[in-house]
Order: sequence, then structure tokens, then C-alpha cells
Amino acid sequence: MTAPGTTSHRDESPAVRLEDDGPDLEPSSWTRTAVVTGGAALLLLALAAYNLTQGEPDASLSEVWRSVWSTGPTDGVIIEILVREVRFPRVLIAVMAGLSLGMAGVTLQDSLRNPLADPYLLGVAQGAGFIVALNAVYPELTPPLPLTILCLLGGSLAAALVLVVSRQAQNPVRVVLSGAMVSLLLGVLSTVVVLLAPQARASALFSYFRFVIGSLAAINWDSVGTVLPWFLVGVPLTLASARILNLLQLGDEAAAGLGLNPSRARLWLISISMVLVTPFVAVIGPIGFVALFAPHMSRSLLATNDARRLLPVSGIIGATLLLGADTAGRLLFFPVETPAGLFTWIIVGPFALVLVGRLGKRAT
Amino acid sequence: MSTGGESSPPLPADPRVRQTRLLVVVLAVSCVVMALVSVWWGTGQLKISPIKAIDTLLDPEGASRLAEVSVDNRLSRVTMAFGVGIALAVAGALLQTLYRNPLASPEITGVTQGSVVAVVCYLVWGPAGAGDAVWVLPVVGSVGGLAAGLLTWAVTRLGGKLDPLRLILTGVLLAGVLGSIVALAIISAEALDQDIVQWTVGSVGTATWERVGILFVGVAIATPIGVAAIPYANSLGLGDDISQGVGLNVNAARSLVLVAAAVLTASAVSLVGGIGFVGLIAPHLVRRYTGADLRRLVPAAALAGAFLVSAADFASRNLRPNDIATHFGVSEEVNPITLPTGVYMAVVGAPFFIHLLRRLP
Repeated sequence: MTAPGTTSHRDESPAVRLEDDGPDLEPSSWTRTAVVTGGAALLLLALAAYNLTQGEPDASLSEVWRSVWSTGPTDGVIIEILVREVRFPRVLIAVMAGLSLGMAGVTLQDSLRNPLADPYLLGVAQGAGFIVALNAVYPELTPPLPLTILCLLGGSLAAALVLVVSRQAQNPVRVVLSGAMVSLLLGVLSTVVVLLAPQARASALFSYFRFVIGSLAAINWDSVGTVLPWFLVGVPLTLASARILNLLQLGDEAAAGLGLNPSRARLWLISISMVLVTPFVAVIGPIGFVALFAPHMSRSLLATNDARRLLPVSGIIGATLLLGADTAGRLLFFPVETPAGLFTWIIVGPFALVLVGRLGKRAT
Repeated sequence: MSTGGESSPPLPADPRVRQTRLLVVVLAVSCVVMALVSVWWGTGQLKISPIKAIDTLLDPEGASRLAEVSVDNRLSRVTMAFGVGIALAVAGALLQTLYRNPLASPEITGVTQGSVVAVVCYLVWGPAGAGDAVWVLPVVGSVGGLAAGLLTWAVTRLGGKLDPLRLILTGVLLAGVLGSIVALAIISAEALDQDIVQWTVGSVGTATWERVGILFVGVAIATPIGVAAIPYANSLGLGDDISQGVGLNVNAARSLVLVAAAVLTASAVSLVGGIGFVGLIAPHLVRRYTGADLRRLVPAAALAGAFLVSAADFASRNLRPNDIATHFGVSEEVNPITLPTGVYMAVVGAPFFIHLLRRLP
């Protein structure tokens, strides 16, 4: 009776050991960081170049270069207008959103000590979606603030609700379940708002459903202007908080011994990850699993838990994933466009499931 | 049964058998009361007393045409609600037993989402026409629900262990894909289709006796198959090798359970839409009294589901947002509709879920 159990356990243990290496402090790990960062950044650049050149009509790299950097009038050259006004802002948003998602994923996972902490699984998208629906149908009911701030409030409240309902923020099963149910409820409530819209406001509803799809198709320079301030505030704040993240990994008591208030630090970290993520949710809609997957991928590539190195690498990987999904969605079935949201589900989703399988093994 | 002599007392009967009997009677009476109240109260425009309703049913010639039509309408609607509740509750009980997880249910294992996506895609992009037979949508929904259910099962079983985290994440993933595809379908229609939007939440609004018949045929076929297959599917405790050694085809039995759950869910979903929380809640409401044995659990859970959905539908017909808006003097700001049944299920179901979660280890 015990024999099969023990053999299977022995089979699994070497793989588990490999995963469980603690923070690697050897100098060679910095070389590794440099290689991984450089590789991911190169991949991202190549992907961006590919995205900018492909489409109808195709552009050459030099044309793209000229269109992106030239400041003068476009002289009506179609390709310049297309690249500068349509493709370039879209690539920028994808990169910025991916960076933010990747960094927010690391911040949430480490601060909550939950390997599955992810803004989407915490219900942020549905919280923001409810606000989007309410704002589209009954703008007089929402405070007169920009949509990004409203989404920040809605998303943060939903995440707070999920964490409170789960009662154990570090327990993956409870958090994911609570997130699923809170999302289901918020989705139903959003639909109620949509259904209540009188005929005169029916056109406003499309903005809600366009949001739910999770697409970068409607991006222009205005959207870049909307999210840029948040991005410029959020990224430096997150990078500056890397030390706090590292301290929290030592455990609450050790962190407190080093002069850190763990619960206040946690609140701060969750807040900045909301600042990072929600403005992008407001602009491009729900993007699932990027913030879950990018941190884990960078953890295994870097073999470290040092947040100073994880944050930028996870950000770059997140940007690559999202830009890849958007490029695939835009070009795969050209001219029909598949939304990036759908593509991230289909591409990143299976990896996330495999990842969960490994986490489950490690836990047993 | 007793192994000792005459002196040993007879084994006490399982108290849960008696409890189950009592529970089934209470629930059945509640359902009948709910049906009478539904017919009586209707949509608030024409009150028909229970006695008059029974009279109308027994003697259609003697009653007024209006009363006859109303009774028929309301009766078909409440029967539809019963059928949906029964189908989803039985599907929930089957899935919870198969996954050995108290939170497995059609919406968590992706079966509901699969059916919804299949039906919406068929309606928007498929060869759907007004002349379709009534059984077309249930079959399309069953195929989608079964595909999603098999996917979730395969993913959850990866590595030979039923991993609850993977189960839930697959559900979340399917829900995400669903949300995206359904929104795409809604946008690609020229005008906003209120019916499809209502339907994604689950609405018992469109009941005809023909549809009710299809639903009950699905329930009648799938329930016995699922209940019969569960003991074989659950012989996992013996280990797959031993089970196969004694001649049980475990995987075939499990597939049968999944097929049964998919058919049950899809019969309900394809007719009323993606109504949630019924399959999750109904088995939990009765399990304390019936125990885990499906022969007792299934009938009690089915009745509980029937009561839940008919009560939610009753609320959906009588709590009209328009009346509330008129009360506050903002009626022109609100679309004069009744909210779909699924809304009330979710409003009741979410707190109940939180209560369930508290008891989880």
C-alpha cells in the first residue's frame, strides 16, 4: 500500500529540488540577469519592428524609422500616417500595458505571498468593467472623474472585496475561487446596468461590450496620453519598492525587525500595483493571465526571487507577451482582427495551467 | 445483516433515510406552493386565485379565454423553471461527486460556459434560422458543454491527481474566453440584441410547452445514466489498475458522467441561458440531511434546484425595476423590462458561496 506512494514521491523530488533554489547571490547570476534581460528586450524590439512593418500596406524598416521619428507634417504619405497614427501608438500601449502587468504581477505575488495573485484573478477587470458599464449608461451616477480614476476605484474595491472574502490572502485556491465568484457577480451586475439602459442610451452599451472583449484595436494617441501619467508614476514607484518586496520575503517578523511595518507595506504595494494596472484596464479592457505568467517565467529564467531583478525582467516579458498576442491577433486572420484579450487567454492560458500543475506538485 | 445472535440489538436504520424522505416531502410541497403562487400572482396584471387556476385547468371550457391563456402561460413558465432547476442541480451533484470537490459545478467546470459559447456562436454566425427544430439548440449546447467539460476534466486530471486549483483556473480561463467571444458576437450584431444579453445571464422568459418537453426529455435521459455511472467512475479509490482488473472501465464511466452532466446543463442553458449558482448551491442545501449517497442526494437536490429557480423567476417577474424607478420619479431613465432570472440567482448565490467558502479548510 505504501510502496507505490513512496516511489512516485521519489520520482518527483529531483524536479522539485531544482525549482526550490533560494535567492542566488553568486556574481554569475548577474550575468544571467543581463543575458535574460538583453534577450527579452531584443525579442521585444524585433516583435515591435515586425508589428510596425506588417499590415496593409506593408512598410519597410526605414519607412517605419522615418515615420516614427519625423516630427514634421506627413505630406499625406499613407504609410507615414498609418505607422505614426495607428500602429505606433498601439505598439506603445501594448508595451506599456505589458510592462505594467508584468511588474504588478511580481508585486502582488510577493506582497501577498500567493503565487496566483494576479490582477485579473483578483477581480480587477470586472470591478473596472462595472464602472465602465455604469459610466456608459448612467454617467450622472458616477463621480465626475476621468475614467482611469473611476476604474482605479472600481478595480481596487473589487480586489479588496476578493481578498476580504477569501479570508486567507496567501491561499491560492481560496483567492482564485473568491475572485471567480466576485467576478461572476460583478459581471451579472454589469449586465443588469446594461439591460436597464433606456432605448435613448442604447448606443452607450457598445462601449461596455467593446471593453469586455479586451482589444487594442481602438487605440490612438489620446489613449496613450490618458495612461502615460499613470505609467510614469507607477513604474518608478514599483521599482523603488523592490527593497520592500525583498524584505517582506524574509517573513513578517524579520521584516518588522528591520523596521518595516508589514501590513502597511503590503497595503502600499497592492495600491501601487493597482495604480499600475487599472488605467490600462480602463483603456484596453481585461487582459488575463499576463500578470500571472510573466513573473513565474522570469523567476525560472533568472532562478532568483530578488525583486530588483525580477521586476524589470517580468515587465519586459509581460510586454513581449502582450505585444505578441496583439500582433498575432492583428495579423493572423488579416483582415479580420482577433482581439488581443482572446489571444492572451488562448496563448497564455495553457502555460498558466501547466504552471499551476507545477505549483501543486511543489506544495505536496 | 446482523452477525451476532438473537441477543444483539438490530442495527439502527440510517437516520438520513428518514431525513431525506422528510426533506423531499417538504421540498415537493414548497414547489407545489411556488407553482400555485406563480400562477396566482403572475405578472401582477391579472390575479388568478389558486382555486380558480385549478378550476381553469380542470375545466378549460368554463373559464374565460384570458384566464385560460394566462394560466397556461404561467404554468408553462413555472414548469420550465422547475426543469431548469432540476437539470442544473443534478448536473451539480454529479460533477461535485465526480470531482470529489464540493465547489465543482457546471459554471466552475466550464460546462455552462461551453454551452453558452456554442449556442451564441450558432445564433450569431451559424446557420441558425427561424425554422430550426426545438432540439437543435440543446444539441449544439450539449456539444459545446461536453467539449468544455472534457477539457476541464483532462486538465484537472493531468498528473493523475485531481488538482482543485487547476479545476478552478480552467473554469476562469473558459469564462474569460466566453466573455470575450460573447461580447464579440454581441458587437458584431448590427443592433444590440437585448435577448442575447438577457440570455447570457439566464432568463426563463420564453417558455413554451414544446421547449419544456425538450428540457424534460434531456433530464429524463441524462439523469439515470449519470447516477448509474457514478459508482463506477468513483472507483478511483481502488486505483485504476485494480478497477480495470476487476472489469470496470473507469474512464468510460467517467465519460458517461461528463456526458450526462453536459446534456443536463446544455438542455437548461440552451433554453434559458447561462444561469449560474443553481448547480453549486442546490446540492449543498440538502447534503447535510441526505449524505453523499447520490440515490438520496439527487432527488432532494433536484427539488431544491426546482424551488430555487422558480423562486428566482417569481422575483424576476414581480420585482420590476421600472416600478422602483417610477417610485423615485426617474422612470424615463430605465428600460421597462424585467431583469433576467439569473440576476436573482446570482444575488442569492454569491453570499451563499461566501458562506461555503468559510467552511472550506
